[in-house]
Amino acid sequence: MGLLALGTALEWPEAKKKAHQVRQWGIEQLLANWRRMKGKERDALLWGDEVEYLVVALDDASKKARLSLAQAEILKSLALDEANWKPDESQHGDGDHDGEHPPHFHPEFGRFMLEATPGRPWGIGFKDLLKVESNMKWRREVAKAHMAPNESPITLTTFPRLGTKDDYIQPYYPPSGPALRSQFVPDEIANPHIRFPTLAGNIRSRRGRKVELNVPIYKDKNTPVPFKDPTVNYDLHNWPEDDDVRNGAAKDDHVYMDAMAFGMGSCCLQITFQAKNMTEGRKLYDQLSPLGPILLALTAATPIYKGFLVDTDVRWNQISAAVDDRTPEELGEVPLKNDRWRIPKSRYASNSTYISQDPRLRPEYLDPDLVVDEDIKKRLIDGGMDDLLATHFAHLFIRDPLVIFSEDLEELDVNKGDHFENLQSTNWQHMRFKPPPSEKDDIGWRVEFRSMEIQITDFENAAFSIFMVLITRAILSFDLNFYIPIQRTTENMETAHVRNAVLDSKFYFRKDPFPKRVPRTHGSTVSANPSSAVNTPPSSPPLGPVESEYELMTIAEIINGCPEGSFPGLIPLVESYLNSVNVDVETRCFLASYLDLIRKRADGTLWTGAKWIREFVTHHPSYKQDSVVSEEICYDLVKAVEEVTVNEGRNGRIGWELLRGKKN
Amino acid sequence: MKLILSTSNLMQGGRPSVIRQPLSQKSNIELITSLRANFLASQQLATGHQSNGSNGDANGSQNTVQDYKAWTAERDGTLYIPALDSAQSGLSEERSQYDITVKLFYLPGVPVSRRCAHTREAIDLVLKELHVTSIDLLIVSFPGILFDADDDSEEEEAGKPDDFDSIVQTWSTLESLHAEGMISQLGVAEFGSERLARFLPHTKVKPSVDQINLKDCCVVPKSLILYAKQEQIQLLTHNDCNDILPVGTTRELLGPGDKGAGILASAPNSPDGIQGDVEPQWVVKYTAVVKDRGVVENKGTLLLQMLAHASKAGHEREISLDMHNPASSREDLRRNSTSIYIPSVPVLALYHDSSEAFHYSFVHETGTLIAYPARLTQHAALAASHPYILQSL
Repeated sequence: MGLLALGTALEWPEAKKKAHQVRQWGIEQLLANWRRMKGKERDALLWGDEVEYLVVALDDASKKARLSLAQAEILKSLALDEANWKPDESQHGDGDHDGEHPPHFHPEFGRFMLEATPGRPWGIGFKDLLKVESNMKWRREVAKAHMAPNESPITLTTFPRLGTKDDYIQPYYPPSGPALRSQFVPDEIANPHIRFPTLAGNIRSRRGRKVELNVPIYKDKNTPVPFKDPTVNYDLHNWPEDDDVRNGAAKDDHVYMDAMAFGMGSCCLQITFQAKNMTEGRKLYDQLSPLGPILLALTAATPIYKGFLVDTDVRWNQISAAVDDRTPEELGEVPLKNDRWRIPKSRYASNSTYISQDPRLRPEYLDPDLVVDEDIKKRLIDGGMDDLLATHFAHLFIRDPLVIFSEDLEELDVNKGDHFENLQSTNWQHMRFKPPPSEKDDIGWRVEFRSMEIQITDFENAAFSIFMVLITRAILSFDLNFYIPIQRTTENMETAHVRNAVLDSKFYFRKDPFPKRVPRTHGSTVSANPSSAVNTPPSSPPLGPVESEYELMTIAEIINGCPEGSFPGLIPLVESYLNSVNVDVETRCFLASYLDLIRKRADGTLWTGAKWIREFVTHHPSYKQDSVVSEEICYDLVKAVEEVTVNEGRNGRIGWELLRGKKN
Repeated sequence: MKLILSTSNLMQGGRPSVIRQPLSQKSNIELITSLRANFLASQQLATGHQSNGSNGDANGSQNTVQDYKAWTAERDGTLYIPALDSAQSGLSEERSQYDITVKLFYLPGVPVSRRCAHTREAIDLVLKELHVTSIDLLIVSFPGILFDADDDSEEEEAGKPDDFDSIVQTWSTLESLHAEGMISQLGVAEFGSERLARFLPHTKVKPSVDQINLKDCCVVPKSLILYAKQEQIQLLTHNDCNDILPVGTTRELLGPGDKGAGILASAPNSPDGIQGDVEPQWVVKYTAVVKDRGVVENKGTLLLQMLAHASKAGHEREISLDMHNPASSREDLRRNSTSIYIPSVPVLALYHDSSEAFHYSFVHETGTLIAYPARLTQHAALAASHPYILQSL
């Protein structure tokens, strides 16, 4: 979450009236900033990871695990510490973090959440890569030190019993408040900063009903058929939205949820890279996009919602539904009358655009049905922006701004980025292309990779972060080409949800990632012409049909390579990159252990978090084969997760299936 | 005549061979395939042929004779294969943005006395290729040194083709290049702690890097780690093959036939190419990495061959024979005859000479047989190029 400005937030009917103005001003800010920054060059690779935590409170006496809503106090105490921190002061006797800046902590949507980032961004120096894991562990220690003794930060994507009937939060508040109007969670579940309840409330108002999350139930032996979510209350009459369930919002054989907190209360692992310049940023944005669903399936860690095992392994679609502000007209449920267009995806969804001026970007890869605001696109093109990038932003700007502060509408300041960011930061796609912030001149063009699920241990989180960094280096060094039609990536995103998709499902992926050879020439042209974005290079043989460029592959084939097929595998690509640079022995050893984790997750030697959690529940002595994750199981699971975080499955300890692959 | 073979920039080529090799596979295959790919691409560019295949038909070789001059360049008695295009800039940003590492392989069988000249020659070519005036790190690889992580002792074969004195002697050449400002740092490859300890007192400029090849880089001998730390020598990893250039592979690469570049003649007195035998002299690998972004921008390999007339080829020769007729094979060996292609069946056989057991291993790529004394076959890399093997026949 970005910076949190304060002010008078407009309720939806008022905000709606100002939406057009905010969009227009946002576009002017974008254009001004783009003109200033488009020539920004030679920025170093800097990157950062964001780790999100749930704060849990354990009640050992009654064997209950609850979410703690102490975010504000914890952050206050953390901020005080950070302010008092002196670089030369050895606060840690072991000197492990000498020279490292203290981690930053940030509020998140959920009041039971924390986000932590490294104090300074990482570089590509291999010594930096070695610090990532210990820095993540340090963040956990620092956070824990500012909590009550029975509280701790854990990195589960979702709390297993969020939204159940029991007292799963501490302190307890009853549900059905004015902002969320949820029958399962109270308004107090969300960060009290005005931005968050306004965001949730305006999504609900714009949509005309509560958000609706239906996750298929995991059908076990004793699960009722059909399964009707027993926690749904059909007789509540506090708010007009209580009619939702009486109008069929809760589907058979699904776990039903009705609030933003069920989605935005999930923890993710996000990585942001700074590119050399805008061109490189646009290239990374495109090339990383097809990897989004692959890494989602590979990091799968979300098999439980609201006290039930579900039949999906990842969080993505739940967040998507939790912030889906589309009206019935936009959803296509009723004919268009007042709204401008039908919109196929939620604001939180996989990407729909490619933006790189790369001659290899064939027009066939683009979404022919992309919805764009043509007026905005025209304004951007008139302002000098190229078609591809103008299309991208004109697509993001089909949405309404959700949180508008009336103080910001008095005068347009094109040297700021607030109105632009209003739209940009509430387009939660799996890739985000970030222009340099207009207020600072030491930050370059950046790309954020957003699909990964948070992992239980910092070893895993470091492994996936570093893997992604190395992949970007391999992409740039080898000039790799992962383009597939963008609709296939959307389909892959759905596929990634399937239970055990990591081993059982196949994903569309490009067969040959290598650039066509353009040898050094004797006089003829080599240089790619950046303005002919969707042209093919003149000298190449005619391209085959797009469909022949990709095929369905397993995650193992994508990660480790196809034994028969042509795709070399992401890990061999990374290894090949590492063989081309000078890496010292110690670093290579560390990197090898990270790459090994990913290799083995892909081939099934190691379990995903989703599988491990599911197995933990189904093998728990009190589990009744009815899909129910009871308070007792939840408590034991949280305890187990805490232990895995510390011992990492060593010597046959709990969690070895996740991290070691063998007991000894 | 000298032949300079070049892969050009491997990072731009879309050269699948760079990556497809499983980790266990030897990197010398990588070198040969990337050279071949670069030759083929240059041929196609020069002749306008777009066919991916080779000129397999009978007339094909006729064409390539004409062709090779179109895509190679001869200057001052050196044939550049393909022609190095110095008009193209090697690096896209200014020099200070890069870390340039060069690794020079001295090859077995090449007299130590030539190394001084070879080193300058190789570095000069890299500097020209990258359009720079200095490199950051030069790592030299001496033939015959194998690093073994298990017992921390490097192995040297009896006869020591590369004895300690020659290493020290070579090093002083490097030190002078360092003094001239051409090279900022020097490094060695495959040195264990014992050899390092023996070596350091003989150096004016200490190696700042020791590059070791490890299957599992987490099992570096403790003694080496400690010693390197103490002497402030950085231990780097690599995956180069010890046998960077197996005997016979470049002959096929340059010769006629499906996989050849059509530069060397198909037979003595045949007019379809250059006459003579090729003798590899050195191999040099270079990489240019953008420092603060970790992007490999330029990576390539250059290889120098000397061309000698068959009758003068003294210390290295390929012996081919008909495996269907062992008797004639024996005679062929005795007569010390030069290459005759044999039916392409993979063969591995032991042939007993009266004085010594010989090991014939079939070289798939070339279809020629190479003979080594059996006692050396554990280290075929060494054996393959021992000068005296065939002379002793």
